[in-house]
Amino acid sequence: MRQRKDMMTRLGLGLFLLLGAGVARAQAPSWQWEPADKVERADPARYPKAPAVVLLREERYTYTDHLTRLESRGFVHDRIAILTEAGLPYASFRIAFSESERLHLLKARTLQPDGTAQEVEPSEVKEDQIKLPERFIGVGKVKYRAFRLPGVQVGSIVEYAYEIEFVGGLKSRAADIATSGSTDPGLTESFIEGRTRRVTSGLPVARYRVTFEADRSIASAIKLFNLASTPPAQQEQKGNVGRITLELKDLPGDFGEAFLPPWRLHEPWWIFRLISYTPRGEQTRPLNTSWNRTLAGWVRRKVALMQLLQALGHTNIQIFLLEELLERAGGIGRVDRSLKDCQGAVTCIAEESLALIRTHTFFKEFADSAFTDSGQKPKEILDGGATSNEMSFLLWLLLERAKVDVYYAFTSRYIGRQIDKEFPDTAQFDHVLLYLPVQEGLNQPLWIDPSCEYCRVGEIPPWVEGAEAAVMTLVDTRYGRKGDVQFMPVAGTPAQGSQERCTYEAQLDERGDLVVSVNDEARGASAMRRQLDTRTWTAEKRRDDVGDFVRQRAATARLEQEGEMRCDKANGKCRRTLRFVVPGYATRKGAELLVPLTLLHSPWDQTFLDKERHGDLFFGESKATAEVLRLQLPPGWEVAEMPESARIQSPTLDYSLSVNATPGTLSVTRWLQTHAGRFGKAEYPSAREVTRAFAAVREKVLVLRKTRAP
Amino acid sequence: MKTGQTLWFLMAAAIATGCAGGGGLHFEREPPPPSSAYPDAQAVVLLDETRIDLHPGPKGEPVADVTDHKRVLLRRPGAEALAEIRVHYWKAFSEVRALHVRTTDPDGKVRTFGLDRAIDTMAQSNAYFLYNDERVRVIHAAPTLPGTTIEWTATVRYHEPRLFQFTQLFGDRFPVGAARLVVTAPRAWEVQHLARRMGEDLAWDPRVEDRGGRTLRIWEARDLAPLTPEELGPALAFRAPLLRVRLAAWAGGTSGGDGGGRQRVTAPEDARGLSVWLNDLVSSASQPTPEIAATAARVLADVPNVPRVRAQRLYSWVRDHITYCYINVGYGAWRPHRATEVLGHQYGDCKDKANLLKSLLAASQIPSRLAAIHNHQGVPERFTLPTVTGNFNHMILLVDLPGGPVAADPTSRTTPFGQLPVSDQDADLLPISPEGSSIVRAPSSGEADNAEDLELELELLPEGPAEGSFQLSSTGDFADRRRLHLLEAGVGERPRLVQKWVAPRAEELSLGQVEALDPPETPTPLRVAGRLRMERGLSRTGAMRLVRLADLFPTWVPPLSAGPRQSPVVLRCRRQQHLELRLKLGPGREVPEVPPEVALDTRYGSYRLRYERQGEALRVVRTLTLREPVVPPEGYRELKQFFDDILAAEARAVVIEERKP
Repeated sequence: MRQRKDMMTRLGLGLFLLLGAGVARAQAPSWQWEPADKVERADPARYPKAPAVVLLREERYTYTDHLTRLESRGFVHDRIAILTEAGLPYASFRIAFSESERLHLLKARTLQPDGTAQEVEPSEVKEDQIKLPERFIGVGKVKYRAFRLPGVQVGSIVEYAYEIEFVGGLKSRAADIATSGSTDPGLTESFIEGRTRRVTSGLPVARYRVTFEADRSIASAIKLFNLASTPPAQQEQKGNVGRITLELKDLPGDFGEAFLPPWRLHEPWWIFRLISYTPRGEQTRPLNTSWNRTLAGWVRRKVALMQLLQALGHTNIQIFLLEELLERAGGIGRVDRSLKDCQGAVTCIAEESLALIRTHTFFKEFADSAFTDSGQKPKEILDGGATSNEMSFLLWLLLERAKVDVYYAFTSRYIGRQIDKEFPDTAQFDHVLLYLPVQEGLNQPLWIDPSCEYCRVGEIPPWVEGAEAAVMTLVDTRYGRKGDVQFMPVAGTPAQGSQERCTYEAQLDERGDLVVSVNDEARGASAMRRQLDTRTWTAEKRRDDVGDFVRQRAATARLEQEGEMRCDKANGKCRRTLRFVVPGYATRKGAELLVPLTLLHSPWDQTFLDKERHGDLFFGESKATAEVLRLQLPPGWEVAEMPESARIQSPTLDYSLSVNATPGTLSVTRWLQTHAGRFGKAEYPSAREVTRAFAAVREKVLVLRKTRAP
Repeated sequence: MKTGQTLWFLMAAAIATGCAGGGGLHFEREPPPPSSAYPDAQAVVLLDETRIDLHPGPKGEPVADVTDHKRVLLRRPGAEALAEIRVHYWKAFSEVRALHVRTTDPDGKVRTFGLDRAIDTMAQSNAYFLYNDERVRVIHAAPTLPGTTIEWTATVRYHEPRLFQFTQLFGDRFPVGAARLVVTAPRAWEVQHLARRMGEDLAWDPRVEDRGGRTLRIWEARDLAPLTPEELGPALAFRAPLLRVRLAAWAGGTSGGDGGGRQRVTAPEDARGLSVWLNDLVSSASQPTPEIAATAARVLADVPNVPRVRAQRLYSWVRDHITYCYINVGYGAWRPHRATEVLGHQYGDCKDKANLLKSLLAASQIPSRLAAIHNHQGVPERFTLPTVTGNFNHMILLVDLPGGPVAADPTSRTTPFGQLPVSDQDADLLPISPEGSSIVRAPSSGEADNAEDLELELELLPEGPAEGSFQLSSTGDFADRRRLHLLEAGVGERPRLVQKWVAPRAEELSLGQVEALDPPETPTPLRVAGRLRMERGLSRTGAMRLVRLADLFPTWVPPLSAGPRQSPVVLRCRRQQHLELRLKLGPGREVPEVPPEVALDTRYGSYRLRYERQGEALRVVRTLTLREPVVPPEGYRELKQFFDDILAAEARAVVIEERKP
C-alpha cells in the first residue's frame, strides 16, 4: 500500500503542479456514427480461429489545462465483428467508473449484414453502483452501466463508443475495470497504475488508432513496443493543441500457441508519458525528463523513510512491518545478537536477514509492476505471504536497519526484454530486487532477489539472469541525500537449475500386472512454482490432481497409496510419492511379455504437435524434465528387445533417451532440457523434432523373454 | 444464466446468511470441535446456525430477519475460502441489516470487520449475464493463518418472505461441531418445513417451545462428519440433510402481540396454487401484438397448416434468433419481459424466450403454457415446499398439440423440437395456468435417443502410422453438445475439437463433410466425416505393434475409486455408443491371435468388445449401453466392477506382427 500511495502521491503532486494556470476549454462530445453503408465488413476466412475481430479500435486521450484544474478524458470506440457463436458475449457491454468521474458519452449500435443499424436506447441501459474493497482507497463507489446490443447474430457488427472524464491522471482505476469487462476489481488491480495499453487483448485487430491531445503547455511522448517496423507516431500542432497519433493495422490475435513470449514481449503495446509542463508565463517544469525525475517520488519516499529510521533509532521503530517481523523473530535484541555475530560481514548480515524473512513469511506471487502494492497489511504479509515487491521491501528494511548500503534495483523478469533508457517511464519495470554496492564488509557488489526463496546470497534466479536493472542509488548533496539512477547488469551465480523429475520404481509380474511406486520431484524454480500452486489446495483439488496423474499414465490404474506434496523452500525441493497398480499392463505373447512405455507421461508429449507456428518460442528458464523408469522384471525373465539410447540437440531443446539393462532390471530415462531465451519461429521445426522424439518414447515397447522357471 | 439459478443463489444466500435479530457477535458455549476425530481436516466448522425470525413489519406485513452465525477454525492451508464471507441479498426484496466478522489469530489477537468494510457488488457474472439486482456483500477476513478462528454473523431482512423458502444445510465438506436452525414466529402464524437428503424426505420434526406468544422451532445436529467430495457425485447440498422452511399463513393488517386476531393470509397452498400465482405474474407478458402476429406469419410463410410443423418452425426460429442474455430485476426473476420487447431486442433469458414462443404460437392459434422447471446437473430435484424460490431455476414451454403436450426448451441452442436437453429431462415441471396445475414429470430420453456411432477405416502404413477416414454420427445429447461446440468454434478450430471426440492422440485430422451442423427443426443426426493420421498410441518394437483401444480412442467410462460410496454416481444420461474400426494391416502383416470377445451385462449397462481378423484387416467393434443416468450408492460396487472390466478390456493389446517368411 505504501508503494502505491507513494506512486499516487507522485502523480498527485505532478498534477498539482499542473493545476496552476491554463486556459479553460470546454469539450462537449459531438461524436457521430459513421454511416452504416460505409462500414467495412469482416472477412471470416482471414480469422479462422477467432470468435470475433476488432475491425476498428479508436482511442483518444486529451489533457486540457483549465484555469483551476487539469482535465483529462479518455474516449474509446470499438467496432467488433462477430464471427462465431463464441463471439456473441461481445454483444454485452459493461462499463464502470468511479463516482468522482463523469461519463460524457455512451453510444452503441448493432449493424446487421443487410446494412440495417439498431441503436441502444438510453432506457435499456442498466445503472448500478459497486462498492470496492478497501485497497481501492480513493476510488470510492463505482458507477456501473450495462446493456446488451440488440439483434446480435453471427455476422453482426457491434459498435460502441464512450468518453470518461478522469480524475487525477490519464487513466481511471474504474475505467480499467470496465475495459476488462469484469465487475471483480481484484482481476484488474494490476493494470491500475500503468499508463500503458495492451492493444489486442486476445482478439485480432484490423485497425487501431490512438490519439493523444494536450494543450501546448504540456509536452508528451509515446513509445510503442513489439512491432517489427514501428510506424512513427504522427505529431502535429493545431492551434493551442498538440496531437500525437499512432495508427496500426492487421494486428494478429492470440493464437493460443505454447511457449509464446509474454505479451509484453510480442504483442503491440504503448506507454504514454508526460515530459514537461509550462504554465503560462512561467518556466517549464520537467516531469519525466530523466530517470532520476521519473523515479523521484520513490527516491523521496526512501529518503524519508531512511531519515525516519535514523531519527527514531533502532529501538523505537514505528515501521509496523519491520516491528511485526522483529517481534516474531524473538524481538529486536535477539535479531541484533544474531547480526552481531556476523561481525560486520555484509554477506552474513544478508543471509541472516533473508533467513529471518523466509522463516516468518513466504513468497506468494510476482507483482505485475515494480511499483504496485498488494495493499496487504504487515500481518497479512507475514501470515499470508508476500509479493515480490514486499519481499524486497522487507529485506531492504532489515538491511537498512543494519546500516548496510542497499539500493532498490528495477528490472524486468522477462529474458530478452530491453529497457529503453531514452524513455524514462516506470511502466518498463515489472520487478524489483536489491543491489548492495562494495562497502565495508563487502568486497564485491551483491545482487539479491528475495523472491527467489531457494537462492543463496550471491545467487540469482533464472528470471533475472542477464537482465539489466535501474539501480536507484542515494547520493549525498548539499540539500541532503537524493536518488541517482544508474543502469547495471544483474550479476551473480545462477541458482540451482529448474527440474521436474519423476522416478517410477515398477515391478512387473508374469501376468503383465505392474506395481508402480512413484517419486515425483521438483527442484529450483519448478519447486517454487509447485509450492505456490499446491499450498492452498483443497482436499478435492489434491484428489483430482492425483487422479489425473495416475490416469494420464494408465487409464486402468488403481491408486493404492498417495503422499502429500512436501516442499523444502530453502533448498528448492518439492516431493511427493504415490503407489498404484496397473492390471494387465504388459501383454503376454507366447514366451514373451510385451511391455509398453506408456507409463511415461509428460506435458511435453502434447507440446508442439502443430506443424506450423505463428509466434516466436520463449523459454523463461533452462529447465530439465526427466522421467526414470526402473523396471524390475519377473523372476526368470530377461530383456530380449529394448529401444536404443538416443540424443538430439537443438538451439531450443535437448533430448536424450538412455536405456540400460542389467540382470533382472531395466532402466529407461528420458530427458528434455529447455534453453532459456527467445527464439524465432524458424527454430520451431527443430524444437518440434525434439519434442516428437521425446514423446515417441511412449510408443516404444520392451520385449521380455522367459529364460527359466523362477 | 437461467432464471432459476438466481433462485438457487438466493437459496444459497439463505443458507449463507441465516438469522436472528441482528446485533453484534454473541457467543455461546459450544462443544469442542471434533478435531481429534478428523486430524486431516483443513478446517472445522464449530458452529453453523441459522435463525429465522418471522414477525409483522411496521405495516403488519410479514417480515423475516434471517441471521446466519458461523464459526470456523482454520487448521491447514486449503480452507482459505472460508475466510471470504459472502452475504447475498436481493435489492428488491431484502436488505443486509448487519454483518459482523471477528477473527482470532492463533496468538489470540482479535480483529473485527463490519458492514462498512464489505464490498457491495452484483452476485454473479458470466459471459451471458448482463445485469442482476441480486447482490452480495463480501468481506475477506485476512489473514488466514492456520489456527485462526473466524466467526461471523449476518442479518438479512426479507420484506416478502412468502416468496422464499429458507434453508439450512446440516453438513459441510469440513466436520461440523453443531448445526442448528431456529425459526421463531407468532403463535398464530403457520410455518411449514421439509427435510430432505439424497432426494428422500426425512421425518424430522423440530423441538417446539412457546415463548411469550411466539413459537420457536429448533432443529439441531451435532458432530457431523465431513462430506468428502466424490467423483461424479452430486452437489453437497444434495448429500446432506437440507431443511427448508416457509411461511405458509400469517395474520394480515396491523396489530401487535402474537400476530393473531387479524385476517388470515395464506401463501400458495400447494403446487397448483403456485401455478396460479405465477400465472397472475406472467400472463400479461405474452399478449400477442401486431408485431408478433406479423413475425409469426413471416416465419410460417412456407409452412403447411399442421400444428406440429408450425410449432417446430416457430420453436426453431426463437431458439436460433433470440440470443441468450440474463437480466434480472425484482419480480423480473419470474416475470418475462413483454414478448414484443424481446422480439425487438432479439435477446432474452429463458423466460423471455419461452414467453416469446408462447406469444408466436398464440398468434398462430397453437395453445401453450409456460412451465417452471428445475434445470439440473444430472440429478433432478423434486418439488419441495410451494414457494417460488427453491424449486425452479428455469422456464420452458408446454406446447399443446393435438397429439398431446410437447415440452420445448427454446433456451437450448441446439436441441430440436420434440426433445429436451438432458438438464431438463426427468425434472419436476410446473405448468403455469389460470386454473393451476400440479407437478408433472418432464420426459426423459432412452439409450437409443442419445447415440454416438464412430466408424473408422484405417490403414497401417509401412513406415509406421495408421491413416484413413472416419465418420462420426451423433444424436440426442451427443449431437446437442457437439453442435454447440462446433458453432462456437471458428472454422479453423473445428478439426481440433473433432479430434478430441474421435482420436485425441491423432497426429493430424482434417475435416471433410459436416452434415446437419445448424440446429435442426426435428431430431437429425449430426454427421462429421474426415481423415486422420495416427502414430501415437500404436506402440511398437521391431516387427511388432501393439494396438490398445485405451491408447487410441477416448475411454467411454471413467475409472472409479475404490472404497465406500456415499452418494449416487451421476452419468448424465442414458446412452449408446458404438465404435467400429477396420484396420488394414498392410502387406506382410498379420494378427496371430485376437483376444476373446468381452461381453458384459449388468443392471446399469452392457458392453461388447470384439476383435476379428477379416482377411488382411483387423476389425474391432465396441459398443456400450448405459441404462441409468443416476446409479444409487448401493449400486456403486457393481457399477465400478462394470467400469473396471471395460477398462481392463480396453487395456488389452492386440499384437500385429510382420508375417514370417
